[in-house]
Amino acid sequence: MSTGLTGYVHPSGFSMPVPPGWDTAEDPAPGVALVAAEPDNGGFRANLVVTVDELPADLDLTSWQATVEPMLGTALHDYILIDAEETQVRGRPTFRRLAHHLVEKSGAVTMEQWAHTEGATGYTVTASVATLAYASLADLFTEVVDGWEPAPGSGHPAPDPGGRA
Amino acid sequence: MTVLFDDSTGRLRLDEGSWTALTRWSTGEQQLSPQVGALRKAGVIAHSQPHASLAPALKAWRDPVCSLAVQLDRGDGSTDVGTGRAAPEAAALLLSAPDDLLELVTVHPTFLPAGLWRVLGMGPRPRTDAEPVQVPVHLFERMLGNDLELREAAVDRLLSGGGVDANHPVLRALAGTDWTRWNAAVEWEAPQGRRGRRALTVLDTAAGVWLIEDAGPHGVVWPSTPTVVWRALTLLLPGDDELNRSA
Repeated sequence: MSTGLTGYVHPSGFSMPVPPGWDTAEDPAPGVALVAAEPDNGGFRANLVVTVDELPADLDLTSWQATVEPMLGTALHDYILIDAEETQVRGRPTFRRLAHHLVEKSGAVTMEQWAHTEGATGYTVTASVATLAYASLADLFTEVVDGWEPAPGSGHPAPDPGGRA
Repeated sequence: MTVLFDDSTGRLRLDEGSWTALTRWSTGEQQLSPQVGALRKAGVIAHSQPHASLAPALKAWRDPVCSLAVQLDRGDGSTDVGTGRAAPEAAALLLSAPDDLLELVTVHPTFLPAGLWRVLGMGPRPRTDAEPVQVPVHLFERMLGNDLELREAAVDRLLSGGGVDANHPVLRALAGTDWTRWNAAVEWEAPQGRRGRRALTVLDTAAGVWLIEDAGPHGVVWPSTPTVVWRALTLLLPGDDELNRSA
């Protein structure tokens, strides 16, 4: 983990590093396990959100994300899918998407998501930032996701120590 | 002389002469030209004011922080170009449209990457693990030209030099028509009388997206991703510290 990040462990057991000085809210809403937001600077506050979904047993990562995409297009204003890929993060099959959308009174927002499953649980880490600030935080978001750990005993094989595939 | 304006959406399409007349009128130049009459008739100008939806674009055109240029060259021989100007409140792009018209697209500068993304027809693309390709510039321009025979000859010449696989995805893509080479550039007045410039050139193919780098007499075609391209577009506009504040 980067020395610039601070370790965080959720009561359910998952852990991830968060940027120091960011405000955190634990379990602020059903299905939302964590919100971490940068200090208020008067504009759109870059943030990280961890959501947890209980998935039907027969829904794999690809099928799950195929259902998520149209929902994002409906729920978010001016939604544009920029990039989507099935990749691996520390040996875990992960669906990553990059998208643009409009947030009322804040402007253009770039959203980067990493989703993976642990058994019947789907985890999504969503990073959002004002679009013109995306480049300044993109590497930080990747670093956060590289430090993600599911709850111990959640059934997933040990991560590949080789890092990203 | 054509002026097509939808005052409910702000969509404006017009011929070049009418655009020139509008920008001159916008700077205060009094005109009794037929174009200004047509602009009034279409609702672009009313009560000596531009329509509210067009005012930010015209202001950016009068008093820009930077200029914009985009060009798309497609494998089927078609080309689109656009010029624009950006100010703190708006970025205005004037794009080529059917019937020899121009279409004005206005966005807030924070939406410029998204606006360009749409104009450039970008989206998710497959990944490629192919190696970068170095191509002499004169051959590369022929490979991206409209003449299919010249394209093939340029590819043959590149292959004859060795070092490039004939099955390289860039060469396979350029053999067909399903590709777009686009360039987006921004220029501005920098401190101490210098000109600032940033540009991005991309080869967009069904097999993946590639960044084209000018490296003297050679161009290098680097495998890339939509994420990398998006990141570069978010950095296209100049930052406050790059601008000539006394301008």
